[in-house]
Amino acid sequence: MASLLLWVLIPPLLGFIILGLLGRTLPRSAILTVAWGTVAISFLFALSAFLSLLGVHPDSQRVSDATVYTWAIAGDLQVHFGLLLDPLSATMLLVITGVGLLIHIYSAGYMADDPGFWRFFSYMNFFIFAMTLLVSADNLLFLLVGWGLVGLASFLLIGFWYQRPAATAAARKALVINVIGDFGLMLAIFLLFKHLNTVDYGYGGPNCIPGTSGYGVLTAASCQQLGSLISLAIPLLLFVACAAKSAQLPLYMWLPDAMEGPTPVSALIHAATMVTAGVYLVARTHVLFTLSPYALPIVGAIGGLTALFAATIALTQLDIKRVLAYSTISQLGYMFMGESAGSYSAGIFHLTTHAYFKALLFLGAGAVIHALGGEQDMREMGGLRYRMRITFWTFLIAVLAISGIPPFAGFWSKDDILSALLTQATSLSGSVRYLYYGLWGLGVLTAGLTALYMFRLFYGIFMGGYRGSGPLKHGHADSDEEEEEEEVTTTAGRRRRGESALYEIYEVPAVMTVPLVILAILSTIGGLVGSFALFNYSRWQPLNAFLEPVLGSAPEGKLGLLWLSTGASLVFALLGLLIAWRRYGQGFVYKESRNPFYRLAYNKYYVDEIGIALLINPLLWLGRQASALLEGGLLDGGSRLVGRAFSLVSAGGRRLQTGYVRNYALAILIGVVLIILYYVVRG
Amino acid sequence: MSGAALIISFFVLAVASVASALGVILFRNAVHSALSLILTLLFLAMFYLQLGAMFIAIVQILIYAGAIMVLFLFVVTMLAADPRDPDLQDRLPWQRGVAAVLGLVLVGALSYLLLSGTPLNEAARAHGSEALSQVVAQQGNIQAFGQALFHGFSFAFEVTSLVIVVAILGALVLGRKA
Amino acid sequence: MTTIPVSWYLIVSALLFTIGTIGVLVRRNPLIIFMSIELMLNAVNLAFVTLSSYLDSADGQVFVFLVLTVAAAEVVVGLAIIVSIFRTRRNIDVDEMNLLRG
Repeated sequence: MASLLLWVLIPPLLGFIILGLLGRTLPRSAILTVAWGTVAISFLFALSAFLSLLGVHPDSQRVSDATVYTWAIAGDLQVHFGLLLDPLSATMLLVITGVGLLIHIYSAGYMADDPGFWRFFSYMNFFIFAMTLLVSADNLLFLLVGWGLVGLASFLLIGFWYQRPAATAAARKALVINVIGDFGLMLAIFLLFKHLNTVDYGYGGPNCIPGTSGYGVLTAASCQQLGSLISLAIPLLLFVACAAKSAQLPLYMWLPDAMEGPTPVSALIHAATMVTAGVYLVARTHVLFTLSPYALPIVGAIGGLTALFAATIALTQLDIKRVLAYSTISQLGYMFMGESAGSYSAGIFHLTTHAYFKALLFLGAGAVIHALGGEQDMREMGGLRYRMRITFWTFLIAVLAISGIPPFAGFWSKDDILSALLTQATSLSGSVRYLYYGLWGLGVLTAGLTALYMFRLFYGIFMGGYRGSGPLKHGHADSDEEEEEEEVTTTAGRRRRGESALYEIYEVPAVMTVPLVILAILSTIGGLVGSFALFNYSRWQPLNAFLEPVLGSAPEGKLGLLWLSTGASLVFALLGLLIAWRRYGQGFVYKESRNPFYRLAYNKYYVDEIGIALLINPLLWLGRQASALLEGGLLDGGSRLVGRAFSLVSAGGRRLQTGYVRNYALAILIGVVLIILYYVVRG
Repeated sequence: MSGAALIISFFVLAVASVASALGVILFRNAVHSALSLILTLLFLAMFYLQLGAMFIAIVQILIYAGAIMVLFLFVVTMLAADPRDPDLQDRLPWQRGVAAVLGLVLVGALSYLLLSGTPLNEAARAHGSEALSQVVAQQGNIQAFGQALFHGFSFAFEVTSLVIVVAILGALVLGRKA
Repeated sequence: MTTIPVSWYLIVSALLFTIGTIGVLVRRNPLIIFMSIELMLNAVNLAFVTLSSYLDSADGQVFVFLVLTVAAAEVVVGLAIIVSIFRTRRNIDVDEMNLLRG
């Protein structure tokens, strides 16, 4: 059954190879056939794998592990390339290939005018391959392979418009930070191999029998006594990888910059799928996180801080893609909070619904940017509801979903996380429960902030009057060129220009709106697979039940507590909505604010500047000094010294080479005499 | 030949050969050196006769004195350079002294070794039918040499013919007008 | 039959060899250097013949014969080389042939 997953993996890889090698010569229709076709095949196989899994009873038998081939055998270390099909990987594969397919379709419209059309789809297929490899691998080593490859795909796609210095700088930043994470993951794998002698998950293998081998890390870790330091180091190193990939504090800086890539890339990689790999890894290896009492609280604290931190930045940003980027970071923080409360399925649930509505938000933003010819600044928008009706409605649904307004998808999953936090807080004793109370408070506060900044964005784009001056002429592919609009000096003149310019804006083509509509439907009803714990009817939680064999059952909360949590988050969300409506309902007006907190958040807490001052400049200085000292002084000097020594020796030595044959004969005679004298002396 | 006559003849030959050898390296004129070398070779042939090596002595005179030295003289007269050419100053004057000292040391050391070293192993002498003296007594001097050459060293003998052919070809190639 | 000690002959041989060596080292005319080499070869031949007689074996004489033929071949080639050098340089001082100087 797991071998079905091979057919999920292979088509995107083939597509990548075909497009990469031949794409330049293929006509547009052929490129789309290959790109869409391979992902569609992949999606169909993921769907059939999912359905075949559903057909298995009882639930605990829903796992299939197939070794495709053995990669390396070195002593105790046996590395198999194996595919694991279980509820978790099936869910992830459905999300990846499903959302991926929709974004592939959408990209055909968004990238229509780009000269790198074939290259774009080749990279996108490569990303799908890497991501499916990441989630379907049955051991940590191949997870690492997929982990690295998605980082590479992300690098290639962020730097897709490589003519722009900003894009290549962002790509470099993303790669460097991702490599920090890869390093953490590697160290974790080394530790696991050193202490447990295996890198397989070993999920569904034989149960732990002390003193025997043959089961994977997840079972082995639970029965072998690891030192308290090791059992904390492993999950923390894993979480370093998760934080880098999923943009958690302090490794989040690359994600806002990654918005330099094409918008479908932001939707696919930097919102819906790749950045959730960290959430997946925590869920997949949650056994390791429970070994130490400190691991999960640390994960939760970082997640909660990230959620609030990113939300405050998102409140002030003017670039619509950056608002969405910070909102993604904030939502990822939610997912980690949910997992830290022991409710891994809540994290996965939010991952799934987030994939729908965040992809929808990005694609909607992409549609706006496309219609405006590359304009991303909210100050140049407004009033677009009249011109882009489909985008308007789908965007509204997505905003409602992310703000946690019932009955949209985000409400259910966010509620699940907050309830889990409160449940954990009340069920724990000791000081750690205050942490969870605090996290719950952060979550509720962030829910309000989320509604505020999302509606600010929504009003800024679609409501009020149009503030811009028509679509940019040169398109989004090279939008960093200076605008050359005619001077419009007076405000009145500018508004008049704006009103007529509004009619130059047109709704995007159907190839882009169809994915929007499908995602809007998913964002509306997607929550129905999830938590209805509020109604105390467990059969209404199919996703939880489906994931339970892998992730274990989440702690059950009291009904009153759940209603309390839900009510609080809903109140805050509505409050945020109300504030946004009061302030921005009549259209977004940008005012330069002198408020220090505002300036702080607007400048992203100066994290980049601090990083440059504290980290990059000292490192650069160190590097320059070391280069001057080591390379200039030691290495160059050393080699010059050796060279000079040899040249001195040979300057003396060459005088022996007089060129006179008789002289050489004399040397022979000296040798002969010395040999004879040796015999004389020896006697 | 009586013992005293033998010893006297040895010393006469030794002095004569060494003196003529010194003449080879001391004469300024190359023709004189060549003639001196011929004398040395003749004295050596007499040494060989004294040592009972009849065939070698004859070959020494025939090949060395007769053939090789004629060749030498021919070339010397052909390439006669003025021995008093002022341009041809010795550029390594110190080498004469060094060479003389080293030569003295070498002779002294070798003589010391020969006179004071362990005597030759008597067991290394050939005996019975292997012995040269017996074969000479039975068959004659030339026959004894021929047997040794063609029994023990026929392959080496054949190789010398190849060496000579190659030398002839090399001389032809080098001597050809370019 | 009174015999002369082997070492006397060998000392004569050593003297001749050393004289030849010194000739090679001090003379600049390649013809005389060649003659000195012949002298050295003959010194060795004397040692061979002496030991052949002493050991009552014909092998030493055979070696002398082989040395003779090799010496003949060597002289032929060497003189040919000297002649061809003289043709190109009109000068046969070995010290002039020092192009390999370091």
